[in-house]
Amino acid sequence: MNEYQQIFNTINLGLVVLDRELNVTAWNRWMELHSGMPAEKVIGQPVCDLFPALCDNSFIRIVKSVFAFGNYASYSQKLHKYLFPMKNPHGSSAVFPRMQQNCTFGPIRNDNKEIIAVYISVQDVTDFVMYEHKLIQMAKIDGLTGIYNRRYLDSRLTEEIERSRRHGNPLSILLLDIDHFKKINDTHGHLCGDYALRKISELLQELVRTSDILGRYGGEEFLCILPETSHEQAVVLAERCREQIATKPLACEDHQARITISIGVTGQHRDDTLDSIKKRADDALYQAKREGRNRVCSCPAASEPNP
Amino acid sequence: MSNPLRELTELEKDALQEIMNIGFGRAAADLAEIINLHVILSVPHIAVLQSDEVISYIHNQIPDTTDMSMITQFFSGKFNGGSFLVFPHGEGRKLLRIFDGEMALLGENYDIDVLEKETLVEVGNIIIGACVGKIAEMLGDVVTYAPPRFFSQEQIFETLDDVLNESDSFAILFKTVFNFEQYNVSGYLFLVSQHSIMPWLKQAIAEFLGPYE
Repeated sequence: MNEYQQIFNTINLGLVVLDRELNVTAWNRWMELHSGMPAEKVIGQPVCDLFPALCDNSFIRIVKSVFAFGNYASYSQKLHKYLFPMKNPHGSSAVFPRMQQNCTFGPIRNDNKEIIAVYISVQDVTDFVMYEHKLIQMAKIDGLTGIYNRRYLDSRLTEEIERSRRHGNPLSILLLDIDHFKKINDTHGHLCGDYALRKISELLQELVRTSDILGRYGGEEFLCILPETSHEQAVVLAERCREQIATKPLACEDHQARITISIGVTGQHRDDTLDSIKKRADDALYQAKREGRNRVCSCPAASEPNP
Repeated sequence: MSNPLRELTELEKDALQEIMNIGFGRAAADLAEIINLHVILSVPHIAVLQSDEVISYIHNQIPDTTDMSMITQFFSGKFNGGSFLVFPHGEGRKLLRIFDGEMALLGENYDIDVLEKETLVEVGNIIIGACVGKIAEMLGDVVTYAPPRFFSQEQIFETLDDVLNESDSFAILFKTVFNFEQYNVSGYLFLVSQHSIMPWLKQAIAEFLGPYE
């Protein structure tokens, strides 16, 4: 083996060469190892026969452009996840069953400067993607309850307000607060308080629909974003949450506690901002508290005509 | 000022204009035929400038620089220099629609800025490759490319400042306005070549003109 062949076969990078008919003409050791396909089974075969899923629009567009223009091209993990479907060789296969890849393409020319082949390099970026995934999770999940945090709720609510305005779909939000939470903490201790927060998060998560976005908004306050939900539907859902929480006793250590929640409901107005919609939900919640707690109050959309 | 190598004659300028027109026309035809990307490239404008005028020239060509993004890619051959594909006021984001079908698979956890960057890198270097490649071809050259790089907002002029401040005192600049019909996206392509290519360029233009004389 000459020195370039040695590099080709020992480099920690997948290297593949395709001819103009998209037949594989080179397949290095790294590719053999990760694909489980030995070079002798692959060389001479059309790459689209070997990997039918690979021949989507982007891949073909890139290969054709490299043959036509001799450019350097990239196929990024961010847009496509991976090019060659291969097993994730790291401990993260529960999250990413496939190896995540960044690939680059470039032309190979003969002595007459004609492009006769395209090379593809395949870089395994699964580890980086996994770190990124963990960071994204940490940035949007509340550590205690495992539901979304305030930061994520604010950014999602901003997006949902914009989306609802664009498509003309309704949007509602619920602001929920545990009644007399301070008393739970004071009489049963903070561990019980934390347990109550977790338990109620769990219950609420089961009660809301999968398209709803539930998170912990502050100490004992929760926010639930209800996309494509009218004010009336939101009130029904809020009432169901309130009722279910009130009827389920919470057992913490040897105490049995009955916990209730108050809920403020509001629907989106035409000119709503993040602050204005939250303010109305907060006003409705405050009203529910003032009227004796364990109840749902709502602030209907002012732009709706009165019945 | 009368050093003949510093300036292109009117005839050479016209010829180069012609080369660019044909080159960009072929690039557009190939982009449509080969990868189904329909792009309209305006008649290119050619200028020979002092190096330190290039940035203000580019700045002046773009009326609205807010929310701007840029792909740069350097190419080398006898024809060498830098290409700058500029998408002003959020135009780049519209190109995300090229990947509509595939994008659905990504879910919601994606940062739109990151996707814009990756899309522009992926699509931008094909466009640059087509335009630069065709012009080089018409001038009898074959160029190779460095990997593309993405810049946004204030990074753009810093980058231009860094890469264009060559010791070479003149630069040859080509400008075209492009428009993707399908996506209603438009922007600018600037190719900036060092003045040192001038002897080769004049020679290549002469060879292009040869058959007509």
